[in-house]
Amino acid sequence: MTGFLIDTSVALALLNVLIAGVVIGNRFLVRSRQRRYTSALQRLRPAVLEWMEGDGVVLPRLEGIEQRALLDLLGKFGRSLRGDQRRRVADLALAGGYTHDLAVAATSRRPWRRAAAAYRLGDIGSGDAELLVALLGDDDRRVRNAAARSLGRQGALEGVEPIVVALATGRVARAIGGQALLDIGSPAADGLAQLLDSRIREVRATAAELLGRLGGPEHARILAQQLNHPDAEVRVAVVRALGRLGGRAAARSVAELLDDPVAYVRAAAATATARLGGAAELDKLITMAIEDEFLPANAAAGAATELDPGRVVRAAAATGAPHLVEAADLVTIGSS
Amino acid sequence: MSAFLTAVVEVSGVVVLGYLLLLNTVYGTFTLVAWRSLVNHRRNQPSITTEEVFRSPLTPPVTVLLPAYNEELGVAESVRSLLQLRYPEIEIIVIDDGSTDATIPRLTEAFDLVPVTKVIPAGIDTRPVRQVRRSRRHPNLMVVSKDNGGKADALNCGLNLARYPYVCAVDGDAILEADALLRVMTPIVDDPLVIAAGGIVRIANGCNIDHGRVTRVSLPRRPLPTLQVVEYLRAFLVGRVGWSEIGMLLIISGAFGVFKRSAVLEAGGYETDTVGEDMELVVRLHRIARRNRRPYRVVFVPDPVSWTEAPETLAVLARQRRRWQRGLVDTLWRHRGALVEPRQGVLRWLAIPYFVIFEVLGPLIELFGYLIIPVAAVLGLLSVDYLGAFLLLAIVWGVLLSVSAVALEELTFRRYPLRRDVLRLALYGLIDNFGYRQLTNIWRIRGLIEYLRGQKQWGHMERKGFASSTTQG
Repeated sequence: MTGFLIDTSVALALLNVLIAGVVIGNRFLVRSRQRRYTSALQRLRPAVLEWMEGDGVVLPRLEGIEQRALLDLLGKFGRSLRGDQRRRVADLALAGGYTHDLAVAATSRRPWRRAAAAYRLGDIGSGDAELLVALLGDDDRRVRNAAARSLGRQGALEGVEPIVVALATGRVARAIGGQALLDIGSPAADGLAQLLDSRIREVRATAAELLGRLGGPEHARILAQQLNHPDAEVRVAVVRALGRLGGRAAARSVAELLDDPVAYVRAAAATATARLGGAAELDKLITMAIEDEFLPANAAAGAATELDPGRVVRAAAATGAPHLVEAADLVTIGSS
Repeated sequence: MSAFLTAVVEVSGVVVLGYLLLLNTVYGTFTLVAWRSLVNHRRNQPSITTEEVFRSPLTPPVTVLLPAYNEELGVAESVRSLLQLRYPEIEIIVIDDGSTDATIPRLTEAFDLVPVTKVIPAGIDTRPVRQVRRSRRHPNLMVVSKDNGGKADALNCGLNLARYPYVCAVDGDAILEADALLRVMTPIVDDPLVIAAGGIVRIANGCNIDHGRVTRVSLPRRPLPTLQVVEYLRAFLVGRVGWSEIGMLLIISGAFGVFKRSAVLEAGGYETDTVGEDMELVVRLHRIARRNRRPYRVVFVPDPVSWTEAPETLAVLARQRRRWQRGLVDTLWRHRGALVEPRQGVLRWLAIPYFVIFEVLGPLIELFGYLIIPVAAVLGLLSVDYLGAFLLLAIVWGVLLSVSAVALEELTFRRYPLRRDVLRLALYGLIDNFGYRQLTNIWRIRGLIEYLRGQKQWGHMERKGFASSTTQG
């Protein structure tokens, strides 16, 4: 027994020494790699900038750490540029064969490699919509999120419907898929309008919310038709969206929901009314702030403050209604 | 008599050795699981969509709750760090739990606070709110003063006042990194089934802090906080990562954790009569979700960092560890019913038994081993060779686990840029098994005894504070 304990201890001690050696050795390796990477970045930056300005020549294909530095550089520029300069980034990546490499990596057996390729294509690729749309069907969620993100970055119209479907089925994160559609811009609005009929509550709500950010007057009309939707979540999303899209007709429709039976719908309607500048509803909002339950009363007080702060201060002094007093205090300190 | 004593010693030896074997096998397994998880985490960094989460208007807004009791030295820096958080939409609620020091004057001066009227919605019962203040400079900052009711009561008060669907609880002395909230929210944004997520807590002693930001990371100069650095690395990078991987994370540190507000309200908020309110809440969330067969996840995210001040004296550290142990025992006792409750799955057959055997009874067994084996050797019931070999194995194995945790840190996050810090970490990984481990075991046993005697107070935590820190520790 004693012998076994000693043998095991010696083995573990050797393992300790090995791990400690790896830790220390790794630090030296990382340092040296970092130095080479930084120097590659410094060396490549002028050539890439020259290329971006239209004067440079195509760089020879790079490998290893230099390739990584170049792709990081291109990725950084690709993320922050639009139009011709963004196209120059994509051209350089294509000419070096890097886009092809990413397309190959996107079919890798390893999910993290597919996700990284899908992500990078959004920064330095162009015209990869077909591949990225295919990746929206990937088994791995990170790959799907990266693909949705890249379709948005590339402004790929072909991506609208698949992203909308992926959002509808919960296969991409709401924030990421939604942001991708926002990146694509107003052309995505029609696809979203179709989702207002989805059977899934969250999807309808998401579609309404995004339409509020991307849509135009024609979408306000479609949204207004959903204001009497039996689902309160949908009514809230529609009210918020209409608050963003604006319009006199929208203001009238939204004001009707100030009497909605559901408290948080009334609250959302109050906030949207303020956004729409519904001064005609000021009396109603002040009454809500005095009489309604917590959530709508608080929202109504805030909305009334946005429309006419002086009136709220006076009403607060006259009635002493707590939500109005709270709102009036915020007016006094210049906060909201 | 001699035969009897020999038998007792032999049985004790087997129990202690068996315990040691089992404990280190479990830790070893967790180290491997954590290793795999952290490597995957690192590999996924190039495709992580935090920028999109930051840009997206659909990212859920978060209310940050900062309970503070006599935190005059560090609270302003903590709030500053919160105001610098990179996140699309946050509100910050500082809940002053009846401080008797200058916490409120410090905050008032630093953030230009003025008293306002605030209608408090009905929710969880808490001690009365005395006053609400808002900042003239930061519209998203609110400071609530209330009667003293403990940290859990303060958090419940914050939960009542929170406007947003997720709440992030941080300690009054915590310094969050600018992208910490964004990173800890990423799995929640990605998967709405996540009801709670915790980030890593790191020790700020020795770091440079300027206006609520850690500007230079380095190890503390003093041995005691440095030993705690190794301990934290082991607890977070091995323990939490491992438990999170198997879907049974029971502890989200009170210093930094995000919760779905509706889930916490449904559970009734934080328990106010325990000192382990953070763990207790997480265990309760697990139980409720499992009881109702609701799909859910509680996750640990290893890269968002909350920096905290570690105790620098043995007395304060002892108090902290005794409190932690009381909180742990209390939580396990409150949830003993989970062991016989159907549908509790791994919670009842793995997680709770693990904590009972290794975290509550472990220190007792270990100290018993340290006592019984030398006694047996002195009595001639055990050979000195055996005693030496046993101690050697226990120590070498312990060192391996500490050094592995340091290796995990170094091969993944590398937050300590100085080479000498890495060497010191490795060295402290070696020496923390000589004395420090035994000391913490004694404190944990004392915590257990205090719990059994019915002591439930928090005790006082002395802080130096970050305010004037250039280099501490």
